[in-house]
Amino acid sequence: MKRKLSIILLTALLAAFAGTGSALALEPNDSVSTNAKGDQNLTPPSILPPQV
Amino acid sequence: MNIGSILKYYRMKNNLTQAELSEGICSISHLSKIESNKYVPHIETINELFNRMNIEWEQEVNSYEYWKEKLETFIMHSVYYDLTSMEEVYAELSAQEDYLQSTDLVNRYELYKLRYYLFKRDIPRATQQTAILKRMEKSFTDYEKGVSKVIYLMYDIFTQNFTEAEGRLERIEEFRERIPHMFEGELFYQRAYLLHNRAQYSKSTYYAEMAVDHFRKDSNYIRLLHAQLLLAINYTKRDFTLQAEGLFKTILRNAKMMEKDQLYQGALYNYSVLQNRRGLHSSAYDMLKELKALLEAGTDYYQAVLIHLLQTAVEENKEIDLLLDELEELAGRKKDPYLEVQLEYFRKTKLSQQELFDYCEQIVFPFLKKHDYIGEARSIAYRLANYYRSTGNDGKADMYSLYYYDKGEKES
Repeated sequence: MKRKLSIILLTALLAAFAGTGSALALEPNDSVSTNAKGDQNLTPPSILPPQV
Repeated sequence: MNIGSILKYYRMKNNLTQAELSEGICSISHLSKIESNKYVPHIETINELFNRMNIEWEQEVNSYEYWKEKLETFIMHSVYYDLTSMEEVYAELSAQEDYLQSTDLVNRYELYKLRYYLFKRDIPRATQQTAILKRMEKSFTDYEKGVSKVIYLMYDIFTQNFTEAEGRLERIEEFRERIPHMFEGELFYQRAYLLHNRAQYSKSTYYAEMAVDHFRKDSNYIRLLHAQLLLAINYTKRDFTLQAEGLFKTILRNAKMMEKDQLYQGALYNYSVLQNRRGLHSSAYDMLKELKALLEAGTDYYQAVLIHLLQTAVEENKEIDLLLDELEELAGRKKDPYLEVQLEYFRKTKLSQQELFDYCEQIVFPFLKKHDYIGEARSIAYRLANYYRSTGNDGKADMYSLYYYDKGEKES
């Protein structure tokens, strides 16, 4: 149930952004952090050795 | 060895009543006491009772010892992570299940079965097995109690019952000396694993180092690789760059030599994470490309590599359209909200900073937080905090900073 609600919410919010996105699509990207080091960097999905 | 239980097993197998078996040898009540292991009979009585069922007592003792050793071989294979041998021995043991359950070997047999089900990632069977073992606990020897503590801990962590696992660890600490030596390394490893999942990287490092030390001394080469990889990941999180890099190179070399492909891939993936943290995005990108080529599309592993590759490509200002197409196809197929969030995030990296951070605040951060992607939520929080600091919105900046530091390692 929660998963369904999450998907519905996401879809609704994505649809809400869709209109604004296209209007700004031509703007260049402003300094989204590049060359971010260490903890400032985005954390990728975790892959660990086997637990069991 | 409980002679009585074995005697009863064979009597039932031969469809004999107590009266039929005991006639001319001993009284029924005497036989009953023998069968319930309340009384150890004379060797002549044992011989007569077993001979009536055409069983040579000496042969029976040998058989018992054979299966006892087989059980120990089984657990050794699991400790040393020899999965093929473990499967073979398990097949033999389960064919003798009735016999084993009639002897005093039943405790260890059922305990080791739980370990086996965890290997097979069979949660329903493992859960059922914990219920069976709970009923048997009163008859556990000290050795069996010690072993059970470690295997139960593994079960708690595997089923993500981290609070239960932490409680169990506290109780284990109180009775430290009762964990059999053979399982000490595993205890350190599980502890390190739990702490890592709680983002307590320096404590996790401590126990991972102890696990490495134990497995190395014990020549437990496969579990050693696992512990080394966990340690290297902890070093990465703490920016112990030289230590992490040295370990990754060792693991890659040894995993390749031992033909442990998954471990090799895991090490390569995490080495790329280290390279990104050092700002060596080009090196990370090359590693991830190599890794992506080794993997089968559509697996969870492949998915993680794709997302990490996208992150790296963004950092390197490389073209991401082809990767985005792949992620879009994957998200469409799997219908996984996590993938949809990631997809939209990367799409927005091509738009304005404000759009991207609005999306992070409204969708990405709440989603990651809710679904316990702690590490990823923290890094988004860190970026949001920086962003709001730069726009002068200190209230929001403080809020995200607080989340970042609260969820991270509490330095003592």
